[in-house]
Formats: sequence, C-alpha cells, structure tokens
Amino acid sequence: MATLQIASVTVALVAALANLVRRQWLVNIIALALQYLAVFVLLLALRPPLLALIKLLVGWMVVLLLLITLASLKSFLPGQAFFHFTPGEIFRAAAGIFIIFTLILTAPNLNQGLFASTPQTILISSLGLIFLGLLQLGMISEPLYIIIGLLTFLSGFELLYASLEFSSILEALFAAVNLGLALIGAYFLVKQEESQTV
Amino acid sequence: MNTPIIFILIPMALSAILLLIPRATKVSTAATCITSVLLAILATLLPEDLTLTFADYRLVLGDSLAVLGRTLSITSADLTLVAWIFTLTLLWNLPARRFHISNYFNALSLGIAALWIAVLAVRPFLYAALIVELIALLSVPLLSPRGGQAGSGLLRYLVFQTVGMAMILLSGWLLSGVETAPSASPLTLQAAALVLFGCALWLAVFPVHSWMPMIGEESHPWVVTFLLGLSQTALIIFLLYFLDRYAWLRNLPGLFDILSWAGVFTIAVAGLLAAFQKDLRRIFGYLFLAETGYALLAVGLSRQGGLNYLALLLAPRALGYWLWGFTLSELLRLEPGGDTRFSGLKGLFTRRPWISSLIIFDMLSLTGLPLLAAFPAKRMLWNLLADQNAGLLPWLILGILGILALTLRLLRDLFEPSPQPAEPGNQSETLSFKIISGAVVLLQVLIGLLPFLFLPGFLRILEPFTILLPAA
Repeated sequence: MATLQIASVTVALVAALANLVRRQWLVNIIALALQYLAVFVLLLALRPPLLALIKLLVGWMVVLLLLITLASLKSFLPGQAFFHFTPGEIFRAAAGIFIIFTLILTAPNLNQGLFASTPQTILISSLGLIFLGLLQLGMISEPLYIIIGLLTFLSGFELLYASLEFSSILEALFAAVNLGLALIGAYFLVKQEESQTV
Repeated sequence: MNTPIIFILIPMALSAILLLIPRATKVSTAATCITSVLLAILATLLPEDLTLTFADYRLVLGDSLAVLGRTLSITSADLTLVAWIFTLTLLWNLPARRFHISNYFNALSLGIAALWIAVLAVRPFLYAALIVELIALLSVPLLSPRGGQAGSGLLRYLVFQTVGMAMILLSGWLLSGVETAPSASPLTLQAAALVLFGCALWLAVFPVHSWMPMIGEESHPWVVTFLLGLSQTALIIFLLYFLDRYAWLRNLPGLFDILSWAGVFTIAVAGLLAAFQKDLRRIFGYLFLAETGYALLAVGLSRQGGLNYLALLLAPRALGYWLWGFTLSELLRLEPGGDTRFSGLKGLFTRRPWISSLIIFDMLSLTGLPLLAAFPAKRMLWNLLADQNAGLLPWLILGILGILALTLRLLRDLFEPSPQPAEPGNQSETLSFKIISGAVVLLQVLIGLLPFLFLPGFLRILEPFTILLPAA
C-alpha cells in the first residue's frame, strides 16, 4: 500500500508538472486524467472506496468534457515535436521541480505543525498540486491552461481538505464546482474557436 | 413550507426553467421581474413570527431547511436583506432588454440572486465559500457572452475567486481548532489571516483588485454593475457574519484598526489610480474599489457606530451603480463599437448632453458630494474617522481628490470640441431614457436632502448581528 501511495504521489506531481510545462492539449488531457487517477488512489487512504470513486468519476467527466470539446475544434492541432523544449518550458519545469523539492523538504515540519492529522504522502501531493496549479495560473494566460491550472489547484485542495474534514454537502459542491469549471473551459474553447473563425 | 424554499429554491428552479428558453426574452424578463417583485414584497411584509394569514387560513412558515446534513436558514431578521437583493434583481432586470446583453441575463440574474441568499443562509456559513465559487462560474456567460475571446480580466476573476474560496474553506477548518483551543494564538492569527485574505480576494481589495477595471473594460456595463454590486453587498454582510460569530476574531487586538486602515488605503489607491485613467469603461472598477474601501472603513469603525453608515450607504451605492450601468449601456447602445477612451469622448456633451451630464453627476454622487444620496452616510463616516484616527484623514482626502481630479479631466474632454463631425446615422437620446434616468437622479437628490425618509429602513439589515451591534 505504501509503495502504491508513493507511486500515486509521483504520478500526481509528474502529471501536474507536465501540465505546467507542456502546451499540447492531448498531453495535457492525458496528464489531467492520470492526475485524477492518482488522487483517487491517494484518497483511498482517507475515504471508503465508493466515496473516493466519486472524485475519480467527476474528474474523468471533466477530462472527457474537455477532450470532446477540444477534439471537435479545428484550431487545436498538434503543436511542435514532443521532445523539443523551449526556454520557457525549461524555466517552468525548473520552477515546478524546485517547488516539489522544497515541499518534500518542508513537509515533515508542516506535518508536525499545522496539518498534524494529514499523512505525509497526502500532504506532499496535495500541496504539490496546489502550488503547481498556482504556478500555472500565474504563468499562463490561455483560457484552456488557466482552467487546467484551476482544476489542478482544486484537486490538490480537495485532497488536503479530505484529510481534514468530511461533509456530504461539501463533496457535492466540490463536484459541482469541478464540473462547472470544465463547462466554463469548454465554453471558453468554443468562444475562442468562434472568434478565430470570424 | 419554509423561507429557504420560498426565497432560494423557488427562484433557483424558475431560473433553471428560464435557462431552457433563452430566446423567449420577453417571457424571461416578465417572469424574472414578477418573481423578484413578489419575493421582495413578501420579504418586506412577512411578520416576525413568519405567519401568513389569508382570511381564515393561517400559514406558519418555517425558517430553516436541512440539506445533506447542513441547514439553510432565513429568519425574520434576514428578510430585509433578502428583500433588498430581490429589489436589486428587479431594478437591473426591468430595463435589461433595452441593451445588447446575453439572452441568459434574466434567468441567470435570478439564479445568482437566489444563490447569494443561499450564501448568507447556509449554516455553518463557511460552506458558503463553494456557493460563492458557483456564482463566479455562473457569472462567466454573462460577463463574456459568445462572440469574442475570454478576456484576461475574467480569467483573473475566476482565479481570485477560486483561491479566495480555498482560503475561506481552510479557515473554516482552522476555526474549529481555534474554538476548542482559544488560547492557541498562532492558530488564531493563521485563521484570521486566511479569513481576511480570502475576503480581500473576493472583494478585490487593493492590491488584488487588478481584475476589476479589466472586467469593466471587457464586459457589458449593465452586467458588470449588477454582478459586482450584488457581490459587494453580500460579501460585506458575509464578513459581518464572521465578525459577529467568532469572538476570538472580533477580539483580536487591532483587527478593527486594520480594517479601517485597509478601507482608507483602498479608497486612497482607488482615487489615485482613477485619476490617471483614460477609458470610461475602466472607471467603474475604481469607483467600485473606493466603495469597497468605504464599506471596510464602516466595518472597521463598527464599535463607534460605523455599521449604521454601512447600511445607510447600501441604497445610494446601488443607485449610483445602476445609473452608471444604465448611462454607459445607453451610450454603447446608441454608439455601438464607439470609442470609450477619453480621447474618443471629445465633444460628447454636444452630441449626447444627457448622457454626459449623467456620467459626471454619478461620479460626483458616488464620491459623496453634498446634497446627493451618498453624502449623509459618507459625511458621518468622515467625521467618525476624524474622531478616531485623524492620521488616516490625509489618505481619505487623497482618494476623494483623485476621483474629483478624474471627474474634472473627464469634464474637460466631454466639453472639448470633437475633432471629427458627428456621424449622421447616430440615434439621439430617447425620451424614455431621459425619463428613467431623470427619475433616478431625482431620487438620489431626494435621498441626499431627506435621508431620514428613505434610509432608516436599511438599518434592519443589521438585525442579525446581535453581538456586533450593541458594541456599536
């Protein structure tokens, strides 16, 4: 179980890092789907499987909604070669990796102080997702990537909050917010396509 | 039957139905206006025991509704605010079809009004954070209708609302720890910092205000004035709930001074930044920022009676926002695609004397010019601040002077002859516009001259804050 947890933390953070660094929608969507899967596995340590599954289903619905919208748009074609990294991407990757290492180093202190009830793996992954999401929100202005940044931030926050408190209404509202964000993301994409067509 | 069903669920259900018929704009407008007016009247007329009597029939309304283990509660003390929220919805929906805005405006405005009431009704009220986020998401189609790209102001708005939500929720968890261990001072400070910073993000207090002028520039003024005006009222009341509910927060040393300082500094920054603006549509952001500053100042001075002036400012502020939205929307309707930068407004007074006068009047009214609606309450706030902390007065004066400087700059440009001749195809100002806006101007003047006739009813909005008020 511990190995699975560590693997999930790695997958979640690598997926968030991929979303921060790359601007290829298919890569981003797959990374987002993997991120939700990793969060689901991490949630199994805190919640009964059925409740944890709700988050996975909501997350994958979000991914599906964005995927269908993106696939139906003409303007979102594959970008540059996969293994070619621009200076901006290298900078974002370096910033993201710095954040992850800082978190790994400071997590024991945070664990003893503010978030005493939160397991360390959950703390690292949730704070990692929150800060990588925030970094993405601060560095990008395209609507799709802002929405992905918000979804990353939210999934990290939901994970952290799940370790602190449980409330059915809160879970329902979180699901509504996630789906709402996905709908807004799809709406932005359609608007962008329309304005380019006009 | 209970009050949450009547004032939250019914308007939300109607809003959902109206969303299905976006093209039936007349039906949508009529349904929204009738519902808003009925609910506002009901909220005003309901007696304290929440009993409705029709001839021999007597209906006692409950004041709470359980939803998934949490409660929505609207007591008789909350009804004045509920009535005010539906009145605002009515005011913005009545002339909405005059302007080129989203077909979903009526439906979504009613739903958003009901959600704001839910924000103030949910117990424990920290769960309101997620409802505020849902309101932000519902606002997106109104702020950025189809036909253009999403502006960066809107994206920032979404980001700030989401981060604010996370902070308020996290503070909710910390609060439970603070309540069980009141002496844990680091926890108290962390929770207070999260609450205040979360509210600052939501209210767009300086320095996290950048999205507001941007949204004013990108979105239709009618929609912006409605959404931001409603959110400002509800969020300030939400902050009062925090202060009223948590003694540790209320008794935090220097908290009210910090709020006063933040309020005055926000007014100063709003004035300073406004003085250098060059686009009419961006100005609303700074007027709004200054009003947020006044609201924070009133909360900061609550122990000296400032809360009364917060309540007394609600109507003048709403009228000011309404008139600003109405005037700018009319200008955009008459001159679609027209240049709203000051350089493009040269000679506007000769082309559109009524609109030009209203813009200047509204700026002066919101600034608190004597004899106008905001003056009586703002004058009392200025006096209170002078009594309590005269050192902050220069900052306040700086803010007021900044907006006055902007007004003078705008006045100069409006009167300056236009370099280009007027286009012959342009429509002139309509009689209906003159009558409606003239009535609002008259109302503002009457409120300024006879505030004791119009404003005391708003003091009832403060009834739920039983702990904050006696101290005031």
